[in-house]
Amino acid sequence: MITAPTTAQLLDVVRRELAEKVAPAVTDPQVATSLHMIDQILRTLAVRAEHELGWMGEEMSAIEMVASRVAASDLPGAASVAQALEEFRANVSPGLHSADVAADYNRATEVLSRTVEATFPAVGPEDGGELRAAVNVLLDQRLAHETDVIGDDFQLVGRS
Amino acid sequence: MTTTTDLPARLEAVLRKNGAPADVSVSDVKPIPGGYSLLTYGFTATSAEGTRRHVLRTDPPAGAALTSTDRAHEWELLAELTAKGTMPMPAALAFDDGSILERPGIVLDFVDGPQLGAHAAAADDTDRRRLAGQLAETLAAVHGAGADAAPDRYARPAGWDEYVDGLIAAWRQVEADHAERNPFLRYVACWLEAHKPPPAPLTLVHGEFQTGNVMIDAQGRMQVIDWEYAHVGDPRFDLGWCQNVAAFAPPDLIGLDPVAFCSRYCELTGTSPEIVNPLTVGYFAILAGAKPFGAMLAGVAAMARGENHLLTSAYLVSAEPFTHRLFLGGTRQLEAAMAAQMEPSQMDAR
Repeated sequence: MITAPTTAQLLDVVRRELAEKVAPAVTDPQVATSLHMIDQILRTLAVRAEHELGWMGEEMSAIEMVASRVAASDLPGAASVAQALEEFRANVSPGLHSADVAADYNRATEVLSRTVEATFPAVGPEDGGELRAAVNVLLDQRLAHETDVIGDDFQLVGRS
Repeated sequence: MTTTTDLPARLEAVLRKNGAPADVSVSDVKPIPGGYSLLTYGFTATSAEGTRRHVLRTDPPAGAALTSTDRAHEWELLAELTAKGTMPMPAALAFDDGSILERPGIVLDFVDGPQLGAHAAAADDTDRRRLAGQLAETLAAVHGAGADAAPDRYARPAGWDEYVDGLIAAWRQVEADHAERNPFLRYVACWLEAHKPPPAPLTLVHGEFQTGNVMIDAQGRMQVIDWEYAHVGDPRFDLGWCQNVAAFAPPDLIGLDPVAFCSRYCELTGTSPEIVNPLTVGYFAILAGAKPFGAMLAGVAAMARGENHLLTSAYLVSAEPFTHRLFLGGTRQLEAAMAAQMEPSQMDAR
């Protein structure tokens, strides 16, 4: 395997070439919009190539920890969370290929979604409010990673 | 309609079929860029009666569109509104079911002016506030048409609860239909169910009201375009969606002074401030997202299944996190504002 330069570095070279050589030669506004879209896609690919597998692994561990507590609680949705958690644990892939990890992550996301639904009505500490806060941290963590992928300055183009 | 070369002759036939003089000739056909769903062309029609610039809105080839809507359904509404002549919109002139253009299309008057969004982006603060006031008047004019302005074939919800519950269910369906599970959509559905505002009388709503769908004509009047998502619903749907889109494409004309905007809208429509205020508009900014967000995700899901190879769909994968941030942040801000507004006794009851 060739790992240096990294995938992200290679994509960065392509982005620079497009921005510095190709874009200035483009006069058609529709083609310019396409180029802008391509640049944004390449940007996300570079970040995903660098971090995606690691972030998914970290998120899955965090989800499993919080979901275990929700599954063991008295909340009405606890059984639904326990079922999804069991499904996740029973199907964890031994492989590290991207498709395998993505399938695990998708099952973990179902666990997270059910913990959201189970803890949503909870307000005070006595009725699971602390669990809802823990679930919110998971959502914030996922959103932070997603935002890192697209960049803080993302703005929609192509809709004039 | 494979090229713009044969489009003039086809457009002449469409215009003649819809009452234009026999000597009408079409020239200067030019694609109008922008938009994610339909193909749009500007063209000039000349006859003994004079010369006018028009617009053709037509479906793209199969597989080349992110969303799919019904031109005949849209034409039915546009023809009725044009006949009444009170809606701030370009006149709808002709319809073809695809027998001439090869795909269904609608011909409308061309609005010779900028989009409100682009115009507002270049304006100073004083002008933006003036435009916000004008926008409130335009929304009031749209909603003033009432539910009866929708053609008979348009669906009418049995009541407000059915309408709103349907939109919340749509959020859940968007998640169920997507290519992967999405905790943010499930969160949004829970939140919307728990924070319903007081009901409003249902009326004709545009369904995709945003500054990109409002043109400013040569006289400075606002003209609303792209009515493909029009339906009978809660008028706050349009206010909310307008504010939602502004987060993607600023400036946010409602957000400049949301209290003043809502007050002006209430004054013009006779609506109670308890029904239309920044918090209820904020609720609808989230609720209204199911259909357009669902359409966007449908394109992304089709790509994941290998059925769609559109660059736009690949690009819009980046809009997903942006939307998650918008909805998660929006619900939290609204929740805090709603809690701050509650009397202590209401807080205890909760």
